[in-house]
Amino acid sequence: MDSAAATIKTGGGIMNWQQFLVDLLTWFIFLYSVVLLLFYIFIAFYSIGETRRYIRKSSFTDYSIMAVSEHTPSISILAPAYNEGATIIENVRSLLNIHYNNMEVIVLNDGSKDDSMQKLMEAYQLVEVPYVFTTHIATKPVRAVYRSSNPVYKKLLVVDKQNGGKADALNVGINIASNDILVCIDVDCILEQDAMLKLIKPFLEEKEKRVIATGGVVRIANSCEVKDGKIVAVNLPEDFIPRVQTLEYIRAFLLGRMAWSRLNGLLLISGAFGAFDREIAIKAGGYDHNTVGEDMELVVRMRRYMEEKKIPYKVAYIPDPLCWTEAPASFKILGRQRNRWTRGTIETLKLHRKMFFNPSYGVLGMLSYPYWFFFEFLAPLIEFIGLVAFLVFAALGLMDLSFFFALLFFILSFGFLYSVFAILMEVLTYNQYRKRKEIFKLILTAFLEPFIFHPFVVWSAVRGNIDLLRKKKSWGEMTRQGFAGKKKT
Amino acid sequence: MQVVSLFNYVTFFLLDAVIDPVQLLAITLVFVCIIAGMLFFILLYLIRRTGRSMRRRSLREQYSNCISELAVCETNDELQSFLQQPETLTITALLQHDAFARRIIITELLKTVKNMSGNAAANVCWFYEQAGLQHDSLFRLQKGAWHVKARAIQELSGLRQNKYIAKIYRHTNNSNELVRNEARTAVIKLTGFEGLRFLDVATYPLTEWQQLCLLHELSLHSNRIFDGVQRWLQSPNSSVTEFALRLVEVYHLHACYPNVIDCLKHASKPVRKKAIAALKEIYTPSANEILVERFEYEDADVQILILQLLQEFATEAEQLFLLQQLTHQQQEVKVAAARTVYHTQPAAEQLIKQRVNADEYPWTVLLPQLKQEVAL
Repeated sequence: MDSAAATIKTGGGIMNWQQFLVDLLTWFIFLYSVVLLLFYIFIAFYSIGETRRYIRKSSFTDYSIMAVSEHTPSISILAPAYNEGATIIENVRSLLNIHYNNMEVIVLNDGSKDDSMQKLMEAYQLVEVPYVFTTHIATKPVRAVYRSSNPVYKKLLVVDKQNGGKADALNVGINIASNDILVCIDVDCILEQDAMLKLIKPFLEEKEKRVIATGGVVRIANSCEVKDGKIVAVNLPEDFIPRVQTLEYIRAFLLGRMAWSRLNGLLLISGAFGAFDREIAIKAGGYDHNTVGEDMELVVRMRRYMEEKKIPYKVAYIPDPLCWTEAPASFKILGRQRNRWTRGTIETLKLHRKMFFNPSYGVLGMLSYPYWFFFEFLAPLIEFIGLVAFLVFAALGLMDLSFFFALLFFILSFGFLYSVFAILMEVLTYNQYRKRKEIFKLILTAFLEPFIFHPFVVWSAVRGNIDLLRKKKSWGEMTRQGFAGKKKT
Repeated sequence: MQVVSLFNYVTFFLLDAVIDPVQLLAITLVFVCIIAGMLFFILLYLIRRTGRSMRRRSLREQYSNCISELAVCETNDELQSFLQQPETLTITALLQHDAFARRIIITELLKTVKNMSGNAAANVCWFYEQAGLQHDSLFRLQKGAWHVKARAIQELSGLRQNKYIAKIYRHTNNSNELVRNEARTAVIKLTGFEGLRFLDVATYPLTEWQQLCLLHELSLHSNRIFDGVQRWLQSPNSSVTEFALRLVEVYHLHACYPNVIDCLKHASKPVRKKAIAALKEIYTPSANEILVERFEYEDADVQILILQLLQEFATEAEQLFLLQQLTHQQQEVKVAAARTVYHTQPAAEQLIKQRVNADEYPWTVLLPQLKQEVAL
């Protein structure tokens, strides 16, 4: 290419290829940001109506009717456990005390190497029983099925199986469950008193569409006061990392998922607490144990199945806080979690790439999937590449610094605006953090997030991409502090 | 080359013109102003909320003392003297001009009447009328948005305003689901089983949730009238048929047996499932033959329900049919059939072993399992 061709005369003067590249990248990043921002604005406004409608409707619901009725649907609670010996007895007791009439609790011991099984056997007087079930989904072998000899625990069924991971354990649960609705739950989660009633109610409310899954809001329990497996006082996490995740969860659950639920385009039900239609879960093939994002993947596959079979369906979402979980409190653990989430997202998107802008999948193919592709999977990569490129261009003197800083302030101010809006919605709706001081602490956290937390999350996502390319499959150890013995605020 | 030129043209006119730094900073400033506005709103809202909650608490305390006194009045004279008490006069004067106070007292009256019965509850409803609060509810029933209407219906029915039943009844087929549900529940609350006549004209479906609420409300009434059930069992609205089947099941309506049998052939699967559940409660021996006849036309889940029903009622006549199901293609059906045989035949194990290979799965596990179940 000669020098004449390498320079282009434009209305603005002489422009070389380097400047062309800078402009191209700037233009792309700007356009991408604007579309993303527009999506966020749409999500924020679109969620308001749905949240308001739910809260108004919910104020008329007398859950005690459901709690005592013999006509409520029977449910099977699936609780996978791996090396949970320290807390398994209390966790199972919490599950058995759940406020719901017709249920069975299936604890799935996924080949724990600790004394979980021994502890369960002693505490609940378990005896091995012959138990026939159909293997709808292939799994690792089941070693034995146990029931309690004490009639007090007649709802309990304990399955001891060979280690195969969480997805494999849940698939055993799907096979063995005797009820039509499955509730998958992390044993270390703390449920609200009426959480199960709220989670199941959407299955009773639809006549024209089949409800295939329901999920609710997961909240962060760090610094909350926990007594006998119940949250007795809600506090904003004292440490910065869990606190910023609280803000993240408010944004995601109160705005994002609510809007997607209204569009009937929700792709993710949290693995910590969600209910599924057993028949559809089986027909869709159950959990995929080859992905680390099995919760999202199952929802996408169930939706895909319904779309392909042209059966009207709905994935319902409850904006009430139903479940409390402990969030990572260190950058190390947080990094592992975000790395895994990234890999899970990519694996799911790759598995279901057929739906990408495919009109035969409706909202799922034309909106939900592309959104996840462009703004969940690509966003951290584009952000990372953009930042590196801007720094390089600035160092080479190719970047107009005034424009760079203007764009930076624009993006940062929008991010802060979105967080403040989420806090406003939280205050106007569920208002979990009653003290004024906590709300202002949350606002301050929103201000600090882009400088301390966000770059780390982006970096973890980039590492997730790299790890996926290296074919890393591990979950990454998730060390938890636990609720018991935690200092009180 | 053309592409590059076009790009530069676009860049010049858009990138340079539209997103120049000054404009971006101007938009940022707008964002900052919105943020400041929202922060100010949050602060004001929190202050206002604290004020309102304090006022609400104080009003509640004031009302709860008043309501306690009201509840214990036994004669008309006592009620009249209650109205003339200085505390009551202060409250009624406040209610004349304070909408917030009216909302609080209506909520308190509703809560109280829910936990009371007899004379005490009647006194509370009487006070609701004396204070003219029903006009407030009626106004909102007429003019309000869907949730306001629904709340008004809840208030009128909760505080036993039977004279407004016609106004409430009009909403039993309202296009809004919540208003419709509240109106349907309200007519049952006010008139008991008679209120079910809305089922004759119900065009919208009754959800499972609505059915649970209606059954709960009906359970609180003793004047059981089941005139329309046979008609509802033949309703073109399949959800009405489902609900009627639930009535048959809960109240053991044996007279409806022929209609329930007809429902076994209904096009809707949920109706057929509920018909089997109802049949369990109004069982007559002739049902077995019909169930066996229907079996082959059903999906596995309904077949299992039939087998579960036969677990309680199967006779010698059904044994051959049951033994045939031991070789059913679907394991769940096979297991249900074996369970039924075990529960209805003393020599079940021998019979099963004659039909199947007891050394193969699932029989190796199922036979001990069933033996254990029966022993329990």
